Amino acid sequence: MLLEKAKVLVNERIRLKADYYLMELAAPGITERAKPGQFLMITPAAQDSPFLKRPMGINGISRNNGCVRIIYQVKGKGTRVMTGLRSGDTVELLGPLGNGWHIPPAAQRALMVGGGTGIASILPLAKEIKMRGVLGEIVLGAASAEDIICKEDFTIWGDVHIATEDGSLGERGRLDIFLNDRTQPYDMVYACGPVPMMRFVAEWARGLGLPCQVSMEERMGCGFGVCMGCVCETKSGDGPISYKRVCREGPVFDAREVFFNG
Amino acid sequence: MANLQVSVAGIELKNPLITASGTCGYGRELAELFDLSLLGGISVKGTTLQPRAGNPTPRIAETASGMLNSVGLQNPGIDRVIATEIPFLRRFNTAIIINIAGHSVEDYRAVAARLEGEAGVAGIEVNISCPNVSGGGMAFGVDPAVAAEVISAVRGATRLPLIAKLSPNVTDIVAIAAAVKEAGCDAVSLINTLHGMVIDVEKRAPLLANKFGGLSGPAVKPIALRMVWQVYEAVDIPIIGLGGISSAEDAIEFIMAGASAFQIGSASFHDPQAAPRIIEQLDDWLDAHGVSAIGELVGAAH
Repeated sequence: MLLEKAKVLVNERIRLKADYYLMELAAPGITERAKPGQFLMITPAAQDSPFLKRPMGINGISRNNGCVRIIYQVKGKGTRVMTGLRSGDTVELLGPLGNGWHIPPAAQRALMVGGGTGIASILPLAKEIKMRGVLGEIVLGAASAEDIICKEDFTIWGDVHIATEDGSLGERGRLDIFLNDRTQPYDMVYACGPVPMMRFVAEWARGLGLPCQVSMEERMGCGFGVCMGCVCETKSGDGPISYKRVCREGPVFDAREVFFNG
Repeated sequence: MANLQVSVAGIELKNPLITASGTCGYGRELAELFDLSLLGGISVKGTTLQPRAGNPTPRIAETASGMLNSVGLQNPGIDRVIATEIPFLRRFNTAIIINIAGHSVEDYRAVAARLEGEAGVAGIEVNISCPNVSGGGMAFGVDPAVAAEVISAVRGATRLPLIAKLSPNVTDIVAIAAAVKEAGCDAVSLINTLHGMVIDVEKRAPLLANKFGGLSGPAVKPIALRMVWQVYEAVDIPIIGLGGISSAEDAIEFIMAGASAFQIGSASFHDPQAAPRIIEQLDDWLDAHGVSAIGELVGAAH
């Protein structure tokens, strides 16, 4: 973890209807250390920033030119302010934070499931999976074609299946339509997206006896473990239920360990 | 290089900056960002006799120039803190202050008794002001008689320097400060967070799961300063000031209002390097103003 002054290289809207933005930041130290599944805390503005930094999943790690990429959807004050950042602005970036996805050394086949904005955090994992020589299958689901972000990038890294609720891209419906007929012996299943989606994937994986990791989300104060704000309920084995920090012990958890509340 | 050393409640600090309880854990995370030996002191997460799970989420809400939290004293309990956290902190050259909390007077006494003779512990900060736990916490800090009862019990259990952390959610802060002094406290730290709330208008419901939370950040600074001023005028007890400090000038305001030392809290969320930055700025400010020792400024605005 380090605190770095990062220069905004790109901050542009990538969809016409939905409010998705792509931002690239020059942050050589953080880029050097970053792993798929980790996140960053960013000051939303170059000046007079809101009080708290905002957590952003890492969408791309470019070691050659020392820059990281994030994709965000405008949802509240912080992300709205972020759209005002211009190329050349300097922001404070804390990262890389959290544990990141775990890829078992002997893995041969992996399934990656991304839903909504959670798709953004699956992309660097799909790349890593491919680089490690693991056979990767990717399932993406969202409300509409506009919400399937980075879809061209994914095709480089594996077999991609897409479902949209309105049928504007891929199959019509939710991504469960792809899971229900899948029984391959995946060495790992990864899921990132809305809680009901992750709950579904976790239960499906458990039914087949497949190991599964999920990436949790929670409102954060500090992002690096000191405020105890972003906890989620967990239980390992026969142990007691306890709150673990999403920012520190997570955001990636073993799906059997977490409760999918909400 | 001005002299930044101060002494408060009999605790020698190399500089007046202490990281505030609840904003620095037990030091492990901040230690990845800077050398904890730079700090005057560290006041650890509020620690109770038994481990506490804390409140449901959401626990955090941003507000204008600040934030609300309703963590609810999640902590591993005093035995774990003694076994693993205090030994970690002993590696650094900084004053270790253990912030303690409880559900009953006996809880407070028992936690303090466990700390007696614990190597490296410089003092105990008694949290009688946490707004986020029911049946305890702030309830002890809003009535002078009850506050005094807690401090007396803790005083009877330890010889360590005692700091009472006071709640601003009272009508007369001076009465509380006078009562804890009378009960044997060596210093007071003020202020803890202000009780507040945020409503999620889309859900037509409180945003925090606990409904209410504690307000901190720059928004509370004028209130904190006013209370430090009032206690300094009326009660002869050393003061550790806190509430919204995010720069050396903020800290100097507190010192001029009467604080001998100060704490920084949620500023570390905004800027994780806030503590070492403020210490450096403080030194620069004193040099620029020809002040040779920070102690000269205590109460200077009165």
